[in-house]
Amino acid sequence: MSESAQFVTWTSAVRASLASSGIEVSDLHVRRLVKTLMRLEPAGVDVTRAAEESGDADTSSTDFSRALIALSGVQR
Amino acid sequence: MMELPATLTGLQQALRRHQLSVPEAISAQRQRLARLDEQHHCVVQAMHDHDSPLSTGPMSGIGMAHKDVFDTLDRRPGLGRDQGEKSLGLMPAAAIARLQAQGASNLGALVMAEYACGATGENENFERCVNPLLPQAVVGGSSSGSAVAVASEMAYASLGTDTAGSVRIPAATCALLGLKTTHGLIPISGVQPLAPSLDCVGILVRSALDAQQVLDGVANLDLLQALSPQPLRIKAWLPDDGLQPDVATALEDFARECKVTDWIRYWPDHQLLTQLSEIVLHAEAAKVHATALQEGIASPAVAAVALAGLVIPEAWYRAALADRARRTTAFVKEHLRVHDVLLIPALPQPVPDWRVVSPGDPQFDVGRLLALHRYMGFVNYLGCPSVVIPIARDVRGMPISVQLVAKPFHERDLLAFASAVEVHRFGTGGFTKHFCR
Repeated sequence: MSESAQFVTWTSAVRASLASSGIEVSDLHVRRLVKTLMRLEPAGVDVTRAAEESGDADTSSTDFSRALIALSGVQR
Repeated sequence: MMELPATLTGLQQALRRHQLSVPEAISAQRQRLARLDEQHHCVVQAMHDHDSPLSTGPMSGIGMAHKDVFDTLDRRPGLGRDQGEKSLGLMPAAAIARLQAQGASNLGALVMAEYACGATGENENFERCVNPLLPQAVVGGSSSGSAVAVASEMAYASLGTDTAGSVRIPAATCALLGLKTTHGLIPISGVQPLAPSLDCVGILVRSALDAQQVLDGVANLDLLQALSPQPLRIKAWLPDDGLQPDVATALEDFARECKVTDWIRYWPDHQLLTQLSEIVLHAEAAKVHATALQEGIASPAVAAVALAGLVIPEAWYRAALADRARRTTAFVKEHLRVHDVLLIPALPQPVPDWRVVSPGDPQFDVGRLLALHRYMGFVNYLGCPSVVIPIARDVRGMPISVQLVAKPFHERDLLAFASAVEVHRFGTGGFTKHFCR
């Protein structure tokens, strides 16, 4: 998909998302939000796999805390 | 006017030698805070001990002032929005309670960017706080009042919070040591959240030994790792593009002096990790501020951070969190297994003036505003500790700082390294006094 087509797609999605939350913002704000999404989109995350593997935010948080403690003991 | 020692550890020594008493020390610090705030505008509310300051305990006689984001026994914080309010029966924030249990006095609540949203201290609800090094220079945010209070010697130390650089950026603009602790090392109960997965309590001080004292007072000590018995091994990443030449030269000179033993030449992960940190930041800020966003009463500063979180797909957010442990493990094993410290930039540019990073000013440059946190947020995503310290002066005499990252819970290694740099480069009395005033 071309960048301009992506922009149009994201603009519709942003407007729909804001409307569902009952929020009105200017066209300028919508454009800024779309740019943010397009910048963050290629974050290299396998969303499907991650969603299958993850339980919820609490599970991820617990896993992360355990990982930090384990990593504190990594030796040369 | 009583002359107070330059550092927290210096004051502890003076108290031990009975060169002054605890009440005298606290009284002198309160007077100093009130006097200097007339110039620097960083105090929201001066505070007084409920009882006489404890005369025992390692922190007795030490005055600190903290970002206005912590609950105290009788006051709800103002969060950069207002003056806070008296409220009886609150549980004080655990970090503040720990310091007070060791005798430290809380001198006051300090100005901050509204709801901790901002890479500078710009906040229309308060008079702009003044950088003690150079009045036209920006004070980084969001823990802006903390940086000004410590750099101007109004307080020996300050606790702030760091979600995407909010302790380290202000430290870098005011020639301070700014420590972002490992996620979970210091309890965040009683602290207003911005993005709980990224939020950390951090420490701003003028000297590395002071940082160690404060850290020992607030951290979960069972998690904090002992100092490495071996000489520290340093790895460095200084990106080829994006660093202003004077900053690049200062960091390269410093890296050589530190005898860096390995370099990351090309590191695309930085961009990826930064994106992931932003996804988490926006998504969680939107949840924290959902009501204000929906009612249309969120301030521009809050909306700038939180609104994007309403439109970021939930799957991205869940994926970013689910991938976090794996990515942190990969980062530590690749960069911090053979080496103890990763040396990276703090700010990619010299400390800018307010006019360059203040939206609405004719000289505003959005690129320079965004650059303030370019090398910050990814460290919060990884959860690792990092410290920012000044290492050189730019042409105006303002600090050029470096950032040092370590394995989780290895703050002692970072502070020992920072202390060695401090003594070697600046002698005694801390970092800050060696920069322009």
